[in-house]
Amino acid sequence: MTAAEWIAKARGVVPSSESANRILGLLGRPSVSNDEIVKVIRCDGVLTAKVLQVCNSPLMGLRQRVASLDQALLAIGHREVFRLVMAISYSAAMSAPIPGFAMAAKEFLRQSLATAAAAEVVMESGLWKGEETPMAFTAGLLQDIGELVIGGALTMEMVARMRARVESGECSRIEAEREMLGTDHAEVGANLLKSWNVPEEIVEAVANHHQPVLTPVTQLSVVTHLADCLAHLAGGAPGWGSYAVRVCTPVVEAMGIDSERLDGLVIATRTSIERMERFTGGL
Amino acid sequence: MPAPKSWVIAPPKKTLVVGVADMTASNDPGAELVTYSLGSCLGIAIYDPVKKVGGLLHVMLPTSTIDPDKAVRSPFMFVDTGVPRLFRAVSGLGGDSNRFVVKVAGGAKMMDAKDIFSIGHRNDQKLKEILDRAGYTVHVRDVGGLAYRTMRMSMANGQVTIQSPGNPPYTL
Ligand SMILES: [Fe+2]
Repeated sequence: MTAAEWIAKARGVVPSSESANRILGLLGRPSVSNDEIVKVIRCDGVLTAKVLQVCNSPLMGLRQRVASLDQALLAIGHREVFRLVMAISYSAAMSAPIPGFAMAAKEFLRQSLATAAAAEVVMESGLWKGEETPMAFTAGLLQDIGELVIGGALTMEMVARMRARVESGECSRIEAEREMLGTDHAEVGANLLKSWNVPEEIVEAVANHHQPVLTPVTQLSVVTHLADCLAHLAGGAPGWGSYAVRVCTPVVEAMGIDSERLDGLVIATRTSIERMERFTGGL
Repeated sequence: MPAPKSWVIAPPKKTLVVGVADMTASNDPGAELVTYSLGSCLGIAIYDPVKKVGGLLHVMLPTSTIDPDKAVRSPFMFVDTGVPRLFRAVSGLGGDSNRFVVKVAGGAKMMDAKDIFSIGHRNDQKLKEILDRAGYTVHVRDVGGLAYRTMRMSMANGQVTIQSPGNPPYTL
């Protein structure tokens, strides 16, 4: 299957949300105010209603009922509303089971949210100076979106052959995808996002999250790569062979991560994931 | 005439979920303890077959010295603070530590040339060190590999089953 055919397939699997696309577009601008993002949400009645519904779910634990977008912004803040909007925008597509990777319903959504939470930890750890946290959060959330497309199209026979390769210990899961399909979930995901006009930084972070770019200039893919690793270590990763992920040694060295530093990051990631689960439990 | 076995309807099982960095001990023979999403984390189950009491622990990292505050708030996050508490909890329910059957699963390993990200392996090392010191041996284990596991223990007989995605469950 060619990249174009994958993308055609992807459009059916992952419908793009107009408001989410507009917000993603805003993130690519040099400076974007909270007000601009709020304006987009306000124009989308369905999205606003969903934000209020999640805010009022008992898991959120708010004392007072939230009846308007302004009240939601007051109660949980701009950053939290932003996270919710992104999670809501992709939650329906991401909640589907992925038979090709043996992921049950909601498992992919949970993993994507955990990776987004981990990306924020990397941003706040001081390991990275660069793009804004919302950009990293979004890149973490979307980095495996290609799995949704590929996982739904694999035949049983392809899965059996890929599993045999991965379980032999010879290749990572993404390497097995490339061997079998001539492409992989990172490339398919990045192409899909490109077709939605998502900012280049996010496309890069998705495209290279399994082979992050350090030179000549360190790219956001370093953050998504580390976030992927941290999410695995702080709460697991669903699907068969999910630990067949190659850790990029040059990134580990460049960031000066030793086992002590790593354990600290895993603790912070766990905290971030638990917070995220509380906030998005109502989805 | 006694009723054929197939007529006997088993009471519904009570499922007690053990979260990440969490532990549950039970003396309810009708219950089942379960922990999901064991990746590099370790699941440690202990059971006293005579008293039918046991516990299940889900630890994430080897040593608590990395974050002593966290260890106070969340002792089940770490092997070194979690394991002694698991043993105490099951003893507290009447279990005799001389009869404890210890079963371990998890510790999946990412592909890291420098081995820094092999937290699963470090967890396992720490567990071995602690159990050795206390004079316990692990009865049976399914540790390492690339899989994500779900671990269940029946409180009726201490049977532990493991399932990883795409595979049928099996008895450990
Ligand atoms: Fe990936």
